[in-house]
Amino acid sequence: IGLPKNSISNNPQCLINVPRFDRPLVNGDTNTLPVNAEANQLEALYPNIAIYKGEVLIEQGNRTVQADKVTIDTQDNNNRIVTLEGNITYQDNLVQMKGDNASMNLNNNDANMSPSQYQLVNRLGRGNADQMKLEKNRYIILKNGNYTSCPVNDNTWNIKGTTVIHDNEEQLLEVWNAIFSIGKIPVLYSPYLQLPTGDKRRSGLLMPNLGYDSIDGIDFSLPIYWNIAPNYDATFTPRVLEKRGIQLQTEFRYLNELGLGTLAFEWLQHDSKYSEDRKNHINGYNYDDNRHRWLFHWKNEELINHNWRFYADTTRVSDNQYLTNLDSKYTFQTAGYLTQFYKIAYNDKYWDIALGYRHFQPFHSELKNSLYQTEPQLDVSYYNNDLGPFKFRAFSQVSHFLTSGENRPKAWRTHIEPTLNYTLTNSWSSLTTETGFMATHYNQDNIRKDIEQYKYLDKSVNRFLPKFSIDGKVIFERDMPFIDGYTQTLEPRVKYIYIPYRNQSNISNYDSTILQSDYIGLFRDQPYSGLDRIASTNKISTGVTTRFYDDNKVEKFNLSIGQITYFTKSKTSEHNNDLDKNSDTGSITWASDNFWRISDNIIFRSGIQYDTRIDTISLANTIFEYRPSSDKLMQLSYRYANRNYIDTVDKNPFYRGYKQDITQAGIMAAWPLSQTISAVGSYYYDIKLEQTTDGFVGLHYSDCCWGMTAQYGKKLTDWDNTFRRSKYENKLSINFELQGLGNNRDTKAKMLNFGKLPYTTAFE
Amino acid sequence: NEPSKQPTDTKEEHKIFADNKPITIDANNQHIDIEKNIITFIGNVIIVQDGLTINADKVVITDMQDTEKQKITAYGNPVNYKQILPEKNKIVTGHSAQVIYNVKQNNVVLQGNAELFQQDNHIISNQITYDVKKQQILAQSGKNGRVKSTIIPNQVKGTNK
Amino acid sequence: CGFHLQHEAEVPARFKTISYISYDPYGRLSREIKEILHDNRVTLTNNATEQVPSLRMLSENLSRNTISIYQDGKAAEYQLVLTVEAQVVIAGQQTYPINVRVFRTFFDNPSDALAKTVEQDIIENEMFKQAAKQVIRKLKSIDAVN
Repeated sequence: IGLPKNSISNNPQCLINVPRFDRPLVNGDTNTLPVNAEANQLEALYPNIAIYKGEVLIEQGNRTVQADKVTIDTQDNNNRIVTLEGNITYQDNLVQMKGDNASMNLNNNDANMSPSQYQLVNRLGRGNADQMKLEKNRYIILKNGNYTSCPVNDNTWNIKGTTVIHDNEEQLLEVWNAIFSIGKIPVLYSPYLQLPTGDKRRSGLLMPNLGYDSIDGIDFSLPIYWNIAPNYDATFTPRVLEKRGIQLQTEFRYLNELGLGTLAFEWLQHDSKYSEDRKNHINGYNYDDNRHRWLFHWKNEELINHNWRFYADTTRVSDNQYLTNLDSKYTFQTAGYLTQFYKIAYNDKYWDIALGYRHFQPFHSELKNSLYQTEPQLDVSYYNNDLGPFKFRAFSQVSHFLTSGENRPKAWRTHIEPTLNYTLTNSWSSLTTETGFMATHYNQDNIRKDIEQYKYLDKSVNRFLPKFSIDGKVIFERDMPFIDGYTQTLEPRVKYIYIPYRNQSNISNYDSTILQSDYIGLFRDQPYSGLDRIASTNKISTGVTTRFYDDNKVEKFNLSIGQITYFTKSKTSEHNNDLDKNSDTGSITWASDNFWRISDNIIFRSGIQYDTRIDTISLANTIFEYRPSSDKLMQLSYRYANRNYIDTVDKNPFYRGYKQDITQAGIMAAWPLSQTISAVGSYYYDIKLEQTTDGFVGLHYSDCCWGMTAQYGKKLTDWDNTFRRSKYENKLSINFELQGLGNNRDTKAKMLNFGKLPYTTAFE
Repeated sequence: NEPSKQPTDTKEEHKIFADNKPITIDANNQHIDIEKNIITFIGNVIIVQDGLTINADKVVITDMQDTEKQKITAYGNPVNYKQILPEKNKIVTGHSAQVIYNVKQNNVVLQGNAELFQQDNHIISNQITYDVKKQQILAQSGKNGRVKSTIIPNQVKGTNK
Repeated sequence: CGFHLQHEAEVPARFKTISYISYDPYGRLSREIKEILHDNRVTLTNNATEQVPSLRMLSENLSRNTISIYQDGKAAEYQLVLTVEAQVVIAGQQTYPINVRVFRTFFDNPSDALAKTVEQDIIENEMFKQAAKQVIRKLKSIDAVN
């Protein structure tokens, strides 16, 4: 029986009187497994009928039985029965049962006992029943039984039912005419109740979640779980929001041999607060005139025999304020737009062919008409490495750019980019030379010559650009002078890239934006994403990486620093458009990147980017994490982004009423305070803005069979244009969990993701 | 085991009748006490009767003439016992410190860390009484000893097959 | 200052012939790993016999989360984290885990959603290349330990 990893709280006291089964599982046909019996006396019509009397102990495979009297009748070959009488204890690797009389079937491992008191093996979970049956080595069926995961003398909660079935393969508990009571008080009745008892199914018993929110008021939700089939399940969660109304969240999960997926739909019939806010224009005119508020989400990943792939990741909401008002677990509350993305792809040794459809839903009405979508886009890549030192790659793409803005151009773009790569490597160096060309054809229509921005566009444009790059790297090595056993490497790298100038002012910009260049980004061929802007490039990127390896060749430290030097100004058109205006010659961008494993449980990472054009540090970040164990961690982080740099990468934020640097310092910690209580907290503060960015504190109490988390946080929800300051929301959330029902081990992970800035580890 | 008082050089074969089935007993030598009506055989004694065979170091037969009370007691280190039941195609073997064969009742008592085997099924106990006719076994462990047994479910042919 | 050209090959001699097993043999990660192995003249066999060490890709997970926000509560920077779990099996029984994690960040811009999505694709491809390099680089520490 595949027992689920026991989800016992890591508090050993809870396990004192839980029976153990530590010997290796014996699996074999019960007909051939020997029955070892021991007693004070044996009478037998040897060997078909054997009657043991006096402290009888019987063992077969994983089962051991103790009783006063045991009769083994093996006369009828297909119905070999063992009857037991007098203070019986039965135990196998799944359950321990105690009772007065019972019988076991030697043919099929079934056993039943009445009345009986049972205790699960190796994990919490006990109860009693008028009649108890063990079937197919998998089911425990109780007649008028009950179940709780509390230790013996602790009756915090239990579930009674006329029929209770533990299914240990599906890790599921089914209860008919279920009465759930806390202490002695019955709290919930349901004709039928399904509860996951392991981490194979839903996470956590779907217990009610109670919260209070300074904007929405009381927030109470009660999830109901339905296990439709072994690989399909659904969860319906009615949620009451005091100031808004009743929301119904439904989620359907499927897992079949093709792939796995989640389909979710959230529906709020009438949101009173939303209508009121809309009337008072709390967020100006950035409102849709929708009566209901809903969210649709579908995520599907299918890999069919290694070649065919079908991928969908779609989230859509009813209005612009949805994510600010109602958080949902299917997307980030910080998202500025949502993506509806579908892709069918075929990959094999030589080809990657993908047909994709991408549509965006922005949250600002002004953006609705300015965003481009690719409906559809075909990517075809051909790879051939079987050409000795040569490698040939041909990337081609056909895209159809659409937008709902009437005065913006639409276009078909066809692009083909073959590249020949000649790579030489030996133990201390590698030299890669790449040549190729980029040929693109545009068919642009709806060109509004009367608008300044589009007056140079042509209907049909052909662009041909050769490209050449040579990339060399050498690895030097030495034994570290003062730390013996350690080796240090020094890896200088030089890459020269040449792409001629082509005036592209007759091409509109559909999918190009300036790329942020950290150390890795220094060595890209192009400073812009997409294909609409290919800048003339005559530059050299140089960098050096040094790594420290310990005596087992494990990398303990690395530091990289590099820069880009432009020999000629990189241009994409004659009109010095915003992309070109700050291109220059000389060494323009510097970037460094660092990783340091100070000890097995302390990690330090940092990165800096310097841009001579804005003559300051454009980006800097550093993170220090101490994590001695899975439930103890402390992380300090600091992120800086210069406002001028932000303007280059975050073009035309016209909808935003402010300009800001980012000087965000943060601390996040999780620490057990005692065997049962642990604390979790995070606090992010923007130094220049002198305001809290995000913060919460939480306590998690976990007893043997139940637990509770209480969290209070302050969230930055929106920008108040009239008072020109950020708006906040205070949120309190309390939820309960029952140990032994569903896996509660990821409670800490859920707590760490309470705020807008979730925990991401710096460890490998 | 040292030779007994009356050494005889040849193998003694002796036929007696029990329950009108012949029992043959071989032994290195044999000693008869007529008025007490006891025969004692000493030195790798082999008793054979129909499907029954007993190998022992010493065998004492009491009340030889009185078929009602006739009893054969075998001593050995251990005594080996084998019973073949052709009509049930079963072979039962066993050993113990002492084997007492009550001829008339046709039951065998294995005494002193006795063990009884039938294929892989076997019983260990201080004393095992085996009623061959009724195919019944009673194993008692005595004060604080235990009866241990192993049964392989599918090796057990149903008697009513 | 004691530096000399590295004499040990990037891929230790023991792994000169290797069998490569992956849940997604034609995915982005596999393509990058096969290319690096090809550049270092490692021959790939697919009969995973005992004597040939095998590199097995167990799982990959690409997650994205917010790491800094603007004054309007919307995301400024996203962090992409690629976690790769692999395993090297030598002589059929000793197995050595390889865990690699690559972190990259980029600024999002709702008014340029398509271009930002393309930027994320570029960064993801670079991350798969970095992860592949780190997986291969860890072969050295396995070679040293074994």
